[in-house]
Amino acid sequence: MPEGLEAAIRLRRGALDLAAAIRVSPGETLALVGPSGAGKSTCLAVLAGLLPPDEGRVSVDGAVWLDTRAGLDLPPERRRAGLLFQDYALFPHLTARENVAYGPRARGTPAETARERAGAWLRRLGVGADADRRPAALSGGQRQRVALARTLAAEPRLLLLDEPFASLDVRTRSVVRGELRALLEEARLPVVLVAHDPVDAFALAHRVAVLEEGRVTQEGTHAELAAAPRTPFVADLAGLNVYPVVVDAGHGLKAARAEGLELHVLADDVSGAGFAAFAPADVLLSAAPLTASARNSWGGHVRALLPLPDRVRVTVEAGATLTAEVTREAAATLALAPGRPVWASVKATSIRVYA
Amino acid sequence: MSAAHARARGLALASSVLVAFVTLPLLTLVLALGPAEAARHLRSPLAARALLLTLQTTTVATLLCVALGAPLAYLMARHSFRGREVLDTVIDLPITIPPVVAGVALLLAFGRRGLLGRPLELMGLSIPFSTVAVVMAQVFIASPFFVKAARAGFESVDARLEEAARTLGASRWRAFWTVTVPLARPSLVAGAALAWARALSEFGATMMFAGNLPGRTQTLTLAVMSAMESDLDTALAVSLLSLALALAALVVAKVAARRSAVLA
Repeated sequence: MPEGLEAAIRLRRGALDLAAAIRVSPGETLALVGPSGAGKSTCLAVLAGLLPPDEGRVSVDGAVWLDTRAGLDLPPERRRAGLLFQDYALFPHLTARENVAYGPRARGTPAETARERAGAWLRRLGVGADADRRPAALSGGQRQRVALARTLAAEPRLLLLDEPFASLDVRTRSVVRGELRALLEEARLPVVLVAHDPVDAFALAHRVAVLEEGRVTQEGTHAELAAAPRTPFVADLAGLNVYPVVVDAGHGLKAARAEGLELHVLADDVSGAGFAAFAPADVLLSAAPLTASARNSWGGHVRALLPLPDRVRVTVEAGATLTAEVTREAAATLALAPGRPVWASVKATSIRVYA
Repeated sequence: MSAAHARARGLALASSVLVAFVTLPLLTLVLALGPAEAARHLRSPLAARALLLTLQTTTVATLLCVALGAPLAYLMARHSFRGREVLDTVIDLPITIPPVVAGVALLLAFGRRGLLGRPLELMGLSIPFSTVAVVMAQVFIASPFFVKAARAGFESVDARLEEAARTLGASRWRAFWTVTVPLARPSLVAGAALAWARALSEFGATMMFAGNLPGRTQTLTLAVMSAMESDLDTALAVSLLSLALALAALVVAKVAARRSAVLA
C-alpha cells in the first residue's frame, strides 16, 4: 500500500492553468512556494475536496479520495484532510473548546468525550486556559494554536497548512514556527504547507516545490534549490543572482550571454543553454571601472537600496538587474543612492554555471 | 454659533415637519381610547375573532416565508448564476406593486376561473375566499422582506467557515445548521420579524383574493375597515392593537440587527 499523499491534478480556472503532481511521505513536509496567483492555495483546496479539479487523482495512504477517471470525488467531510486556513477560519460564535470539539462532534463522538478531547488538545498547544473564550477575545498567536488544535483534533490523515504564519507578528512567528515543527514531527502525517515567506518554507519543510504559473518549476531540498536555481523566483528565494544564459563552446574563460548582460565565466563542462548564478556578496561595487582581476565589470546605476541589519542590499540596473550586498560603510563611502552611476564587478570564478 | 451647528439646527428644523407629521396621527390614535376601554372593545367577538385569525395566519405565513425563503436566500448569497439580478428583482416586486394588484394576480392564478383553478378544483380545492387564501396573500406580499434580510445575513457569513466545517467532517447540512444559521441568526430573526409585520398589515391583496369573511378571512386590518362603518371605538381599539403589534415586530427586528452588529 502506498503510504502518504499521492496527487496529480489539473485545473483550468480563469487565468490559472494548474497542472501539478506531488508526493509526500508520512512525516514529511512539502512546502509549496511561488508567487501569488501561481495556484498554491488552489492546490490545497483541491486536496481538501473544496474545489473539484478538471482531472486528477488524489490518494492518501492508499485510500483514493479523488479519481476523475473513475468518477470518484469524495466530499470534504469524507476525506480526512486537516486544513489550517490562512486566517484560521475559527467559528466566531463558539468558544475555543467548542471550536476544537467541532470535528469530533461532526464525526459522531459523544459531546462529553469531544469536550474532554478538545480540552486536552488545547492544553497540549498551551492554550488550555483560554478554552472558554471566543476567538474574538484571543490574540493572533492563541487563535493560531486553537485553529491547529481544531485541525488535529479531527484526526486528519493529511495536513494542509495555508500560510500558517501570515497573520502573526514577527516575534510570535518564530516561537510558533518552532512549536509547529515539533508538532509536525510527532504527528507523522504527510504535510503540505503553502508559504509565501521562504523562511517559513525552509524552516518547516523537508522539501520545497516551486509553483509558478500553475507548474512545478523546481523541486528539491533547500540545499538543492539554493545550489542550482532554475528560475528567477527560485534564485530570489535562494538569495542569488541567476540568469538563463547561452554559453560559448570551448575551455577556459568564455562568454555566457544573458539578456542584456554578457558574463565571462569558467565552465568547461557546459556549453549552450544553461544558467549562471552568483551570490550578491560576491559583487563588488565601485564608482569607476576597475582595473582588477575581476573579469566581469558592468556599468549601470543604482535602482534601490535595502538596509539589512549588518549590510545593505543594492539593486543595480546594468543591462540586466542584479543584486549586490555591501557593508554599510562601503555604501556610505560610495554615497550609494537610487539613480547614482555605479560599476558592478564579479570574478569569473565566483560565477557558477550549470545546465 | 459655528456654521456646522447652524446647519444642524436648520436640518433639525426641516426634519421636525416630517417627524411631527408621522407622530401626530399615531399619537392621536394612542390617545383616542383609554386602556380600559380599548381592552373592553378588544373583547368584542369581531375583534377577538380577527385577532385570533390574524395571529394564526401571520404565524403560518411567516413560517412559510422562512421555510421557502431561506433556501432561495442561501442560493442567491452563495452562488452567482445567470439571471441572478433578474431573479432578485422579481422577488422584490411584491414590495413595490400595489397589494390590490397582487390580489388580482393571485385571483387570476389560483381563482376558480384562474390559471390553476380547474386543476385545483379537480383536486377538491377551492382557494379564494378561504383562510388559505389569506395566508397566500400574506406570503406573497411579505416574503421579499425575509428573503432580502436572509440573503444579507447569509452573505455576511464567510464561506470559508462553512468550508472549515466541511473539512472537519461536517456534511453540508450540518455545516449549514451549526455554522451558517447561528451566525446569520440576527438577520434571519430581523427578516422574519419584518415579514411578520408586513403580513400583519396586509390588506389589499387579502381583500381581493380572500375577501372579508369574519372568522375565515377577516384579519385585523379588514376588521378595522368593517368596524369603521358600525362601531368606531372597536375600530380604534383594533387599530391600536395593530399598532402595538407592528411596534413590537419592529423592536424585535432592531434588537436583532444590533446584536448582529455587536457580533461582527
